[in-house]
Amino acid sequence: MPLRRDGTLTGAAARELLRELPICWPWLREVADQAELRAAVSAIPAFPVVVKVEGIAHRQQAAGIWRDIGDETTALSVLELFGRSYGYPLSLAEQIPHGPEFALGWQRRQAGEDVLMFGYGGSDVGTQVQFRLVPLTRRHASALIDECVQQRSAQNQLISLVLALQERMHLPSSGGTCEIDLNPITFSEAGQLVALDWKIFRR
Amino acid sequence: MTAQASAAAAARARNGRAGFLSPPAETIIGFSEDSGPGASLLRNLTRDDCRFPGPVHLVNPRRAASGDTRFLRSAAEVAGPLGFVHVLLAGEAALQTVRQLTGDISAVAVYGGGFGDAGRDDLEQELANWSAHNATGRPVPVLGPQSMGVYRNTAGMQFCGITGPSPERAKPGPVAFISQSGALVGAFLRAAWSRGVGVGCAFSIGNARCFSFADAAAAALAEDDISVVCMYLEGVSRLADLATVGKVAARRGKVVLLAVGGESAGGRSLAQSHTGTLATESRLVSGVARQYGIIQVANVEELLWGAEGIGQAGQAILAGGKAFGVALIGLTGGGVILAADSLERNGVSLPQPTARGMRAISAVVGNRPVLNPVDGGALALGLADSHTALTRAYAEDPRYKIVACVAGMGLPPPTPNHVHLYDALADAIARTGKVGVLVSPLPDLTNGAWGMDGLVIARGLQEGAIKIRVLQDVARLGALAGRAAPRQSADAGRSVASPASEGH
Repeated sequence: MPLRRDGTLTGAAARELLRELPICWPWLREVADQAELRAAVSAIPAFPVVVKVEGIAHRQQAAGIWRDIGDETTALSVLELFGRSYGYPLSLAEQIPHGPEFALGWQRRQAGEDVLMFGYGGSDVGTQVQFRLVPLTRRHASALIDECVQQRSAQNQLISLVLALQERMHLPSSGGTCEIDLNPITFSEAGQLVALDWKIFRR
Repeated sequence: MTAQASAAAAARARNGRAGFLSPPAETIIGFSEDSGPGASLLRNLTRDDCRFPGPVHLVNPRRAASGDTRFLRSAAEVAGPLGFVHVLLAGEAALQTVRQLTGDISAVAVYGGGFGDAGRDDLEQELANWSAHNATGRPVPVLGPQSMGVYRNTAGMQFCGITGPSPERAKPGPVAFISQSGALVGAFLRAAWSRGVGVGCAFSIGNARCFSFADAAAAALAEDDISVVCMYLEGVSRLADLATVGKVAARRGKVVLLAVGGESAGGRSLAQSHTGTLATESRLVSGVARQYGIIQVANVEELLWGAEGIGQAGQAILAGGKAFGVALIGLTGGGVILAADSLERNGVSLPQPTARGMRAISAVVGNRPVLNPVDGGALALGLADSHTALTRAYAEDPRYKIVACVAGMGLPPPTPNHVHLYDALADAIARTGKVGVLVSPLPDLTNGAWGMDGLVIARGLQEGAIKIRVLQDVARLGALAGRAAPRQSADAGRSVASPASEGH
């Protein structure tokens, strides 16, 4: 998926840039136009799935997401409906049963300073997040995570992700990237850290 | 050379850039006997109880000698060092004057506005350029524009080089105050002195273009007698500066308290026009302050309460391992209810006692569903010994670092029974090495003059909540990082916590 005019990169293209982060990515298939609908649906490996409209802000509030799709017929109907209503691109993704949602973000400020954000995520992100100045030590990361997550294994996965994200942003290939949002991220029923949605903003 | 001058010279040699806290002379440019700032500044510098030990030069090309006062036509006529130079001029006139300065200059404070605050960033930039490269051949700290000077009060150096407050009750001590607002420096000093809080140094940094809050904090933290640095800022443009201050404070085992103005839309707009400060979003500042162990409060009054509380807690805030819980005991039902509410509003939780503590407390008050907070008023009225046992049970519970007692029965003068109650708290604290806080529910109950050794005193519920929160933050930071050896404060004879951050 190409970089949009507003500098936002989502879906598989953004995931490709973030693939080295220690987090699981759900199965994802992008649908660029109507001609790809049937092929996309037939590629679904398992149900339920989620259909999402790509490239809109506040997708939840805009009713641009449809969950709990349990079969191919429903998936096709929802894709056609969203295509008519919002246009393309759309995406099909594996639906992960999960617990609380968190948000992790990285931002390069105009002053040239990098900050990380972490807190409760999902649709009400912004109300319960904390910011820290990069670089964070492991103890900084631990204290930040500790405010929301008490379970040790979950803490360790999140700490590794925070440290990897700030490390990743120091790589030369990150040039031009000014913001990364992993929101929401969550833990699957098996306890694995999973990204449910993500965006990259580039200058 | 007098002993005091010798000490000042030694301090300059030791502190490098911070040597401007021990200048060999003071020079006031633009001085006028009948204008407010100059007259007030000279009065402060020459008062008997806080007299600057070196020469004070007055420069005004338009004034002749007046009585005993001798005016110089320019700074170039000063024989010997200019020392700390106060420029009581504004805008381009101030810049021209500064550009002509040369010789032995410890620092310059530009009092007038007309720089970034008036949209003249170019003038402010030129001032910054002069600070870095000038005829003296070395960088010179320039405070301001819109500075109101520097105050220093320690065994080796006293000078009240600021306009405004009368230093007649000046008291040296372990607290430093840094402010972008000059008037608040005077207000802070007056309030501190009236409460008996000693202030070792204060900086009015104004627009802070050439000499930032981080520079001022570095200077204050380098002073052996300073253990608590309070900062009032109208914005933080570089988060890294805040991180640096936190790191230096942690390394030196000192505490930094921060209040940032301009959180409201109106305040933010005014801050920008007041000192030209472009503020970073407040939640970023809060996050970085927390990351680096800087304790944030809401305003200057809370800075003073926090600094006073740390001083009153003294050594006890350091000792006692990893506990940082707060227990709240009331001698008045209404008072303890309101105190609990006030603590919660300020983010202080009241954890229940440990199982061992619960047994000890229940033995005194009987089985109750909630044992923190607890109203021990009825016990106190009839059974003083029971109250003593109750207080001791909380103090001995390893979950608690701070035991707060709401005393609502009128102080001073307390009745003999009440003296016994407060003695019980002081005794329990002394036995256990915990921090005891005596909170009056209303400020006027305290009548301003009472205090008890070893106890933190809070005049009112909000003051109590802030002191408890600050003390808990100090204890928590130390508990998280493992406490460094306490650092003794020369003036106060007390030590404060190493404000270890989330980790460096």
